[in-house]
Amino acid sequence: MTADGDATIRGGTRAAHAALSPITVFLCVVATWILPGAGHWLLGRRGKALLYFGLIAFAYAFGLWLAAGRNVRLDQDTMDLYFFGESFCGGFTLVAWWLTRGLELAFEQPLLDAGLLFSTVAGLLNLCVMVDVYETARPRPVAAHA
Amino acid sequence: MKSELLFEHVGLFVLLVLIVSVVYNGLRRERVSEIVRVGLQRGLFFILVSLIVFGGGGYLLAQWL
Repeated sequence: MTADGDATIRGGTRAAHAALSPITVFLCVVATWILPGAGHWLLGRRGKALLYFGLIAFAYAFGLWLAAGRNVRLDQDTMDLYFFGESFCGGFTLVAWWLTRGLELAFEQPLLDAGLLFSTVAGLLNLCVMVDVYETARPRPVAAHA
Repeated sequence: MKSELLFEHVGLFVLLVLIVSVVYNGLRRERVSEIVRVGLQRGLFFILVSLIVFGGGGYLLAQWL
């Protein structure tokens, strides 16, 4: 494909996205909050959607595995801030919290901190992806150069 | 045992930096191959520099103290 053709497609996609209603954009962002990459998928960016889903889901699941499922909890005051970060992966956090709510911190977890770090970073990355969905759906006007 | 723990933490650090780098560098790009290439390049550069600065610097500091 030529550069011109690529630019035309990109311009066409941008023009099509400019017509998206605010509700559609909001739904795409919420879809990303529930499932990383879902917003990009709905906007037709299938490759980016799969890449983001794979990386963020892996980071979150790896964090859960490192901490033996004890990193998504609300009953520890010291973990509130981590839970706030994890909550940007809304769907994952809800499922993980529901499935692991019965687990207790009864024994020493040597990699609990690493698990918390991975799952919290996954949540914060999903926040960036949510912003990217908004930017894709509502691209900012390009500044005119003199 | 000590070296095992060190390698484990370095491995976790490398993995986390690469994930963050690929996702973050994809924010303003469209092509997946470009996102992965640039993300890995910058992530590996960051890992190299931080291991030299913090690893080497920490080792020298430990010797000095």
